[in-house]
Parts: sequence; C-alpha cells; structure tokens
Amino acid sequence: MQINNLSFKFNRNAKPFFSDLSFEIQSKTVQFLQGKNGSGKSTLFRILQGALEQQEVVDGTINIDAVTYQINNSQTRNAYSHFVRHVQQDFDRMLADQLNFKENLALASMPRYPGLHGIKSVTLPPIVSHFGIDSTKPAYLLSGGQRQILAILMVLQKPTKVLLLDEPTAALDEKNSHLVIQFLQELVATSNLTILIITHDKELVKAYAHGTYLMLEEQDSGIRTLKKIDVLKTA
Amino acid sequence: MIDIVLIIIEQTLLHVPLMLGAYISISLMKVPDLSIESAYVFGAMLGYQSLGIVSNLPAAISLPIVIIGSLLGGALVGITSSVLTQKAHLPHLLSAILTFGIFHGFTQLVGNAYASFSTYPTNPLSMLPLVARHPEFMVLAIIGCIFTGLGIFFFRTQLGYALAAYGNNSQFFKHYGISTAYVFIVGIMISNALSGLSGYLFAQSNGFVELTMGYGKALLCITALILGKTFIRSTVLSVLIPLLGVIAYFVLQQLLLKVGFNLKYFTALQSVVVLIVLMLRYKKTHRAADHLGV
Repeated sequence: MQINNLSFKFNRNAKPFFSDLSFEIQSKTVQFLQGKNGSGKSTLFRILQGALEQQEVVDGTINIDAVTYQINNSQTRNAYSHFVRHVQQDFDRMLADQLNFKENLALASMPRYPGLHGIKSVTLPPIVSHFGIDSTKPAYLLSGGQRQILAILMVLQKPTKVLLLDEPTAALDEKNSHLVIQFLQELVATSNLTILIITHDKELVKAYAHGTYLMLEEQDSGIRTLKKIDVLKTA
Repeated sequence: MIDIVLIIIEQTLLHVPLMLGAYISISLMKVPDLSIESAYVFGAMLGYQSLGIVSNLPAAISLPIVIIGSLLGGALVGITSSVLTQKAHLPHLLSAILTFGIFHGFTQLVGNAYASFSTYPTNPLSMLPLVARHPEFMVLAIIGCIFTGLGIFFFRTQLGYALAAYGNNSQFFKHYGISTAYVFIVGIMISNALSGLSGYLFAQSNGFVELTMGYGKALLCITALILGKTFIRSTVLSVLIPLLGVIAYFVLQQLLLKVGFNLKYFTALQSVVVLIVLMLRYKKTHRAADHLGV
C-alpha cells in the first residue's frame, strides 16, 4: 500500500492537518504506527478506511495492489474502502458474545440483507488450531487474546487487502498481547495482507517490528508528519 | 380433568404465534417490544375485516386469507414501531408507546372499539369439528404445527441467527457491512405479524374483537418466556423455549384456578413472579436485568 501526497483539513477554513504526506507499507508485513495522543493516528486510519465527514477536505492518492485511487473522490474512496478493514480498540463490541467462534465467523460473512438461506458453514483456518482456540465455546468464555483473534478473523470474512488495528493489545495482558501479534505475523505469512497497527506499547514494537516503524508527530505549524524510525536506534 | 387438559392445550394453541413472535423480539433481540400488544389488537381487527370480505367463501379458502390479513395487520404495527426506532432514532419503548397511540386510532377507524364475529355466518376455525366441545381444536392445532415448523426453519436461517446476534450486541452488524436497520425492522415486523395472528385466533375463538384485548399480553409473554428458560437454559435458538413456557403458563393458571385462586389477581401475581426471578438472578450473577430476564 502506498500513500502519495496526502493532504487533509478538518474543514475548508481549518489549518492543514496533513500536507503532502507520502509513505509506503510493504504487503505481507506487519507495520506499527506510533504517536502521541492527538498526533493524527486515528485520523489517518479514518482516511485509509475512506470514512470521511462531508466538511473534511482531502487530497492525494492511495495505491493498493497496483491500483491507484483518488482519495478526494467519494466514488473511488468507496471502491478502495471495500478492501480496507478495521478492528477497533474495543474489539468486544464486534462480537456476539453468547455465540461461539464458528457462529460469529458465519455471521460476519453474511450479506448486507440476511435472508432465509441457512448460515454458511465456516471452515476454520488452520492457524486457529495453532493458538489452542476451542471453536465451540461461546465468545465470552474465550481469553481476551482469543477474542481479539476472533474479531480479526471476522473482519477478514470479507475480501481484505489492508487490515488496520487500533491498539489491539491495549486491553490485554503481556501473554495475550504476544499471542495476538504472533497470530498477525502468521496471518501475513500465509496471506497477501498488509497490516498496520496503532500501538503505544514500545516493547511490543521493539520485539516485533521488522527494522522500522512509523511515527506520527505534530510540528509547530500544526501539520502532522510521518517518520520511519529504525527500531535498533530506539533500542 | 380431561376438560382442563383440553383448555390448557387450546389456550396454548391460541398463543403459539404470539409466543413465537415474543421469543423473536423479547428473547432473541432483547427488545422491550410493547408493540406486540398493539399488533395483537390490530391483527385481530384486520382479521375480522378480512373475514367480512371472504365470509361467503368456503372456510378452507377464507381462513388462509384471514390469516394473511391478520399477519399483515400485525406486521404493519411492527413496521411502524421499528421504523420509528431506526429512522426517527427513538428508544424502542417510546416508539412502541407512540405506535400504541397511532393504532388505537387506526383500529377504531378500520372497525370499532368492539366488533362481534356473530355478524358473520361461519367460523373458519370450526371447519374440522373433530372434538365436539372444542370445535376449533383441530384447526388451531394445524395452525400451531405449521407455525412451529416455520419457526424451526426460521431459527436456522441467516436472518434467525442475525436476530440472535442483534440481542447479543446491537452494534454488531455495522462492522461487517450488514444493515442493522434491516435486521431490526424485519425482526420486529415478523414478531408483530405473529402477534397479529394470535390476536385474530383469540378474537375468533372468543367471538369478538375488543380494543383492550391486547392489555397484559407483553407481561404474559415475558412470564412464559421466563418459565420456558427455566426448562431450557441453552443459548441455542429453540422453539421449545416459547412453547414449553406458554404450556407451563397455562398449566400454572389452571392449577391456581383449581385451588380457588381469584384470576383477577393473576396479572399481579405474574408481575411478582417476574420481579422475584429477576431479583434472584441479579443476586446470583450481579448483572442488571438488561436482557428483560428472558
């Protein structure tokens, strides 16, 4: 995924928030995004999802799988947003907690208007068994890490090229945090996904980032810039 | 004794569609669906009016038409309340109260506050009078079996599961590109349509439609569903929950009658039973009764 010359303002009269921002994330990688509160991580995620408010002003292009989309055009924005999935920080809100792993996956794969067809029989990806998940248990009986994995697999029930995760380990203990990141690494190894993760956990970044991670910073002018930081230098 | 058993079965059969509907909206969707009471009356009234149009036809033809009429009446109430909730962004309880007001007027516009079936030459529910003292028994049993079968089928479909998912987490669908408004409106519409059918069956069986005949039906449904849940604790969708619940409800009612309990206090008793169950559950789980106890 490549972003070119991204400019963004919250409204016509506001100061620029992003200006000529360009960066690239290699496919089949897990990339981390860091930044202080208010540095624009969530806004960047919204733009990548194509979820903009009417008054917001945006320009630039996004290239996914060799196809370039204009971000300022609502139709092309709608076209690329179908391939970009987002798992929110409060992932429990994305689950039906009384239903089991398989039923949740089947529900997530339903069409926009569910009908009188039987629910789709879901084949669990082999990756699930590596993480000791009992697919017959109701979701509320799974561990936090397992529920996070379920939420990720649920959004992947629809065609996905880019997966955005907003602080996926914020509500998890150390063991479950490692479980989720290891799961994501196995996921990119077995698929063609690009994964971008917002996290404040520096230890996690040091342990799992491949060479570099992204850092959003606010300049004196109010414009947010994005830097690639070498993990070894921060260590 | 046999008479009491027949009364219990007949009362159960009259309430099967209502209970299936309440199971959908109150138990699966966890919605405080007071509009089933308005649907009960309006469905009965449209059933009555439909019979007026087709009463000269053979019962085998007129009955399906009347059933469709009553289902449509109930569905109209359900669409009204659910659209108010989804599109006017009102809490569903308020939508149901406003819908009650609207259909209180519509019911009288379509018919009257009271309408007697004695003006019609035939009662289509009595077309198979195999049980002499309960001539409607067979037709009610057939209707009950058909709708129970439809319920078993429905609860295995995408839509059935979607309604259960709505009750688990009403924000669920927006993450997966599924229309929440569609699931909610269709769920309440089906629930209220079934309530409308029960309204007609009850009215036809008693010989009249009356504006207040829906009062207390929501409480009846909640009580029966709580009883049903005591028999089947599984989270799997099952028509047995509403069916066993309503049977237990009428068995309890007949037992109380047998021991001399004055049935005018039965509604109060139901409220007390529901209250005790919810308080005991809260004491045990420390979770507020956000799921209406069912």
